[in-house]
Amino acid sequence: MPYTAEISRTNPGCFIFLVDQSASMSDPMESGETTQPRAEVVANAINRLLTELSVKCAKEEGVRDYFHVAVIGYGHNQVGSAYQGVLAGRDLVPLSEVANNPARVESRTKKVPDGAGGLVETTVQFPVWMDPVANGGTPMTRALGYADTLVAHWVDTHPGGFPPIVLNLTDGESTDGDPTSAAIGLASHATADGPVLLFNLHVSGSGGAPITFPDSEEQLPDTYAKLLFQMSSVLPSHMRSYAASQGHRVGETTRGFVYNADIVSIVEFLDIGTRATELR
Amino acid sequence: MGDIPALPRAQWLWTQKSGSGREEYEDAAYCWQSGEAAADGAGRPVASLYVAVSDGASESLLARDWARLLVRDAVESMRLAGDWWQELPTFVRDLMDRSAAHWDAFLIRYQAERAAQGRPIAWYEQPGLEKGAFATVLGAEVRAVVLADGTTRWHWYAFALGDSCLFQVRDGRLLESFPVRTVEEFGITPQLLGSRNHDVELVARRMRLASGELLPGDELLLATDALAAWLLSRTTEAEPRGLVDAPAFASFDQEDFAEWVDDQRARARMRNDDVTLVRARVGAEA
Repeated sequence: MPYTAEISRTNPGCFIFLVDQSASMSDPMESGETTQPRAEVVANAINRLLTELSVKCAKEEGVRDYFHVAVIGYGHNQVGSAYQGVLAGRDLVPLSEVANNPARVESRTKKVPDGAGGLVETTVQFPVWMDPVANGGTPMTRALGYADTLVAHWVDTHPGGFPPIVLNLTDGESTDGDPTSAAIGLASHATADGPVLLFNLHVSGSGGAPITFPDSEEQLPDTYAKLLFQMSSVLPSHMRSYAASQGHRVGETTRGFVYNADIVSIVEFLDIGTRATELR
Repeated sequence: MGDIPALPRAQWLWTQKSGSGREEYEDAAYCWQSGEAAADGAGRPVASLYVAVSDGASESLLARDWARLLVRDAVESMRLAGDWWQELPTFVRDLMDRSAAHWDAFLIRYQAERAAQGRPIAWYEQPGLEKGAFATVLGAEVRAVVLADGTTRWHWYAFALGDSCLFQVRDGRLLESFPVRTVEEFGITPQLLGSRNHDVELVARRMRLASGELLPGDELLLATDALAAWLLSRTTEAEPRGLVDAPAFASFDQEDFAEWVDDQRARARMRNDDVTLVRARVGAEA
């Protein structure tokens, strides 16, 4: 059965984040009552994804290298590593190095339940690897090609491992041509455990209700969303199970696509061992 | 009091997940037997062997320490309560109070040690520490009771939270599988006791109890999930008395066991996980 290979230190997984950093990303994303520049939404998503991955793989001696992670920015007519700080310029980085080298760690306030039905403000540490950037065009096709090179090398060197996961975070307006062929090429790489998984987060100003893991493009508001949906891989069955356990309606054609909604929960889809779940 | 026959000796075999170091083994087991006879609720002479097994959840921090603490506390709570299965909520409260107190003391020591080592808790550990450690827990008492006519009867009593399992085997056939009965029931989200869970009622509701009579020659096997799933998958379908196609664990030492587990993993018969087996056989002379 595909997508069942063990993810461990001896068989690590590969996560590639592609981040749209084009000028249009300075436009707002409207979702419910909040309005935020799209670049800020995706930078926050990347920082939270890296945080959640690090926390998930943390053990007493440090963060275990269950994954190697790349954050690739595209915009300003260039494509390359979007890490800041000491990781700047690097592509795939073992997760322990990612965790130990954020560009900075901010203190942010967060409201948490006070145990008596109310909320109380508390300070949490928020590591930052990437700040919002919005500049120039949207070379999405080149970005997918860049990921293609990383993925091709990865599957060559990890032929039996869990297939690489590529997550593209964008407002969808590619300026270097239709990215469909590049996406098909990227998703055609495979390990013995299955083809590469390509997921997309679409941050858009087109409004409409946030949509998470749809199984058809019918409700999507514009052509960009539909294109990104078509480029997205179908969720493997164990990921569908987790999506369902998080309350999402899923079917056999559900794709790894999210429109104006939170994608960080995708970290929960990754199996590295027995989950620490509260008794219910 | 009448003479109590010799209690079975417990054999503990374990090996860590392939790719992990021995110090990364996150299961735990603990056995304890009374040195002298006591009396049961009916005043009859009894002697007991207590065994507990726990499987720390790999995604939680300090799972190994929590599992080690739980098995000792589980044995202690069974031992001190006598007929502990009669009053499950009381037993659960005792176990949870005991383990919570021990865990709080452990955490204070742990954080002080980390600070002393110049390795204060990192940002990526903080959420895990706040969430707490998680583990399954399975406890069993093997009890010999001397009847008025001088004969000895053997029973086992067990509790379980999660998918660590107890098996009773007679003449190579599976008599009982507790609390999981089929391979399909295993997953990666078993029920777990969290170190920050203080909801005694909920834990008591989820905890399973079972018991059975033992005859001389019967074996009890307590196993964490990878081996438990293996055992169920290697048992013929003629339940409840299917033949268990298992090796002669009695002759195994740790090295034999580790080699055997590696071989089963290589044949894709056993999931790669920490593996624990505690085995006890009621003496044929009893």
